[in-house]
Amino acid sequence: MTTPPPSLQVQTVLYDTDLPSVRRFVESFAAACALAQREDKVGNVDLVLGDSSNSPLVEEGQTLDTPEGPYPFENTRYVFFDANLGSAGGHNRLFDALQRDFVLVVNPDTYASPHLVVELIAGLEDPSVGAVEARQLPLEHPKSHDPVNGDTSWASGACFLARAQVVRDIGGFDPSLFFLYCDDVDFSWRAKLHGWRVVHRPSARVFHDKRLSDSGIILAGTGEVRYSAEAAVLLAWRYSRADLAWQILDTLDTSPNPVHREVAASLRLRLQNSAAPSQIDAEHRVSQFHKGEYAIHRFSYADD
Amino acid sequence: MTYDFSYGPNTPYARAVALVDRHHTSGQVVVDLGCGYGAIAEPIRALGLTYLGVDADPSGVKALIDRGSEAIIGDLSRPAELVAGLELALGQRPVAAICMLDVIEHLVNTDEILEALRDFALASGSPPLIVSIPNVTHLDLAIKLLMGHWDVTPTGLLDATHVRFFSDRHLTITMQHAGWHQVDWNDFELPASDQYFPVDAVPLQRNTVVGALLARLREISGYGALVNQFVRAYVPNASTPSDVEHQPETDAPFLSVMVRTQGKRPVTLQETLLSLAAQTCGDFEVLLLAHDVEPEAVQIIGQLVSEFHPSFSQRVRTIEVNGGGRARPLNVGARQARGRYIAMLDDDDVVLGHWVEEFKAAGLRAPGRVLRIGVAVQKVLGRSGIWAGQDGYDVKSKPFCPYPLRFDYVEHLYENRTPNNGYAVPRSVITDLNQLWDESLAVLEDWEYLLRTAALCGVESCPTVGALVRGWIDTENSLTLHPPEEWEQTRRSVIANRDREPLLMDYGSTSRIRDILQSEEEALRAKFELEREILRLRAELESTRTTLQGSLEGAEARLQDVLQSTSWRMTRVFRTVTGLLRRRNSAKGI
Repeated sequence: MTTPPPSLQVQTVLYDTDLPSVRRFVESFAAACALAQREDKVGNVDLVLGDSSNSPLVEEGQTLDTPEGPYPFENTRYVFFDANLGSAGGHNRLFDALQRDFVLVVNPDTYASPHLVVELIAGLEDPSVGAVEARQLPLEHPKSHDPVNGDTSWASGACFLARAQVVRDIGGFDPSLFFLYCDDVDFSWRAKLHGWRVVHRPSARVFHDKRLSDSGIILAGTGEVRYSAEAAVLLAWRYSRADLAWQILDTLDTSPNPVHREVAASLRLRLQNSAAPSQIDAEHRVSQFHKGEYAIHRFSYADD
Repeated sequence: MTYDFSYGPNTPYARAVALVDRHHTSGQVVVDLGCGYGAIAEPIRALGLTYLGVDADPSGVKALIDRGSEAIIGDLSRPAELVAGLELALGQRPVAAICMLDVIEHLVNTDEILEALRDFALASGSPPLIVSIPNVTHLDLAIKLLMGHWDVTPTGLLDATHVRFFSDRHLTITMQHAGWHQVDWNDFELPASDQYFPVDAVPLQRNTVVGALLARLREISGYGALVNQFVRAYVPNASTPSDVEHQPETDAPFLSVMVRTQGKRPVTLQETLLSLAAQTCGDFEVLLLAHDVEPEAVQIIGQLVSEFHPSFSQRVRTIEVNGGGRARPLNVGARQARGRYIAMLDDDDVVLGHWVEEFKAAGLRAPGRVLRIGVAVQKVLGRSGIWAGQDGYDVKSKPFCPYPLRFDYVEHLYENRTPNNGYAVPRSVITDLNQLWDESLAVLEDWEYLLRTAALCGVESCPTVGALVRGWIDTENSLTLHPPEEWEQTRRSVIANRDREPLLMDYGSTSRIRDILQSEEEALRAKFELEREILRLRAELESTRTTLQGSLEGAEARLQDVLQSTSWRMTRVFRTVTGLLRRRNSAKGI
């Protein structure tokens, strides 16, 4: 008796995403899931869109279907949070209703390649693997991975497939520490602490809409300055690198950017009182801190 | 008005008679409608055919009859009566050909008479219709129009009695609409028509810059720049096409993206298609140009496309192209493109999400210009079988931008600073100006094309990076496949071709060239100053050396004097003892 293919929940968190972009996103994942179903690699698929926007993107009764439908999703849900939960909080809210075997966590500014779902599911064939991330195009993430078994430091929340069991094991993301950045790093490292492997699968392609400056630097979103600074400190602290946390704070203290200095002041208070986050991975088994990154990078998108 | 033009060997009439000779049926009679004084009567009879002239003017008819030819009165403004008169005059004699030389442009009822003649011809053994019609798009007329002239003359291209005016295209459409199908042409050219006046007009002079530019523009825009008379042969067609006049395409996309592939890189081709499918602006079509691709690979390509969502896959057409070099598929694709602009990608290029969007915005800002966007390069190393058995690659560098964001034509004359995926041309350069890629070039065809089209259109730059080029390490590419000598020779050839025509340059080019010349002059001046300074320093060095040499020689001479002196010789014993003592003490460490 053959094992039925795994079921899947595809989920994303919107934030002021325009409707044409959402349609494009849905169409691409519909095609990828439909192909995976035709090849009997996936069973039932749910699509869940969480919305952290100030006002609902989709009105009640409005459909996202286009003339090129129908879509292969058994259930399609749209959840308006009526609050900006960030990436971590938003995905956790969508995890609450997770009934499927696997969950595909993706950014709304992605477009699935036709074989994305097939390839990601293949990446979970090894039962030791808890999460598998896709390769981003056109601007590939520079972190390294093992060329043979794909092991990598962490899986990018732009697009990774995880076993629902992993989510249950670690309780999903941690929005108490990570609003928008490093939530995926933390997710991966806690999964690893639970014994799961995290791998990169280059044949699983996803288009992630990033832009470049004329000097080849990836242009940052509006929230990056604050949330990335915050996340850097808290990640170091959580993973028992208090030395690094204080070092980052010292740097932020003297940054010309007032947001950095504001973040530093706020975090110093937080880390110096009893509300400081608990620390894990004291033996540094899973965490990696290399020159301001959380993995060894093959190259850097930053200025030389 | 009845014309009495004489017949000569190199005239439109002679060319018309040549077409009669080539295409007349086995019939007997050549009917010359609007014959005037019958300039072609004798040449037609010399072919062994019977000539029948028809004109509304009795004087011409009488002149023909007096010369021994057959002629009747006939009025082209009354087609039914005309045909009845012809049938009566012909009797049972079959028609070999029908001529209308310098006639149609005088008729207000062109369609009516042509259709009536078509019906007559079909019932008369389908003789050909030979016409000679002035070309209103002759270069001289075009230039005169630009000068604001419309010089009507007693005869010629702008004859005062002309009521219809024909271009090559309009003539074709008019004849097709009336049921006549062209089977031959023998057009009459005149480098300087009867409209070539005033003769000193600078725009008319071909060896002036503006004259050469206008001549070149007319020449590339379409057939007939120097054609004075269209001399054509048609056969009657039982069916007529529906309206063949140009209908603007209302659902044409903004952009046609031509993706060139040889089917050897399905992995990167899939990524190219993915980056297109993910575009924020969907106002484009894709022409996948499969160049010399094996049938199995064509199937694989088709499969790749079909796996995308129909919202994208339905906008992709695969076109198989066989033979030719790198430019061949581009030309094939360009002729089938529907977009208002055309862009090109190779099957290992990827574009950022706003590539089409930026082009479209630029097209709205500056319609008709070549659109250019910034391109980054990323070093990659190809590796076999590393991606779940598929060929893949390792990214080895961050993207870097070696090309300036703003287009500079002068810089581009020196070398190409714009990869293929960094620009889009208005399709009008192809449809209206016949500017296709040069298929004779094995390399640099993209640079040559950009120079040509940028000179005609100007360039609108998008101030952003929109595309990525893979810089393959250790992989065969056009740089390695073609030796440096070929590159250099082609480069020189491209520039030589540019030099054969006047160069159009965009706004601001005067200052740009002046800046370059000024920089060159400053560099030359600095070089001159430095050379002078070096000479001065060398002279100073030489002078100092001479002085020091003199001082040295003087000191040596004085030393010799001391050594040769009596007192020095007398104290020699003491110096010897002192020297011995010094060496002994030194050995003892004292």
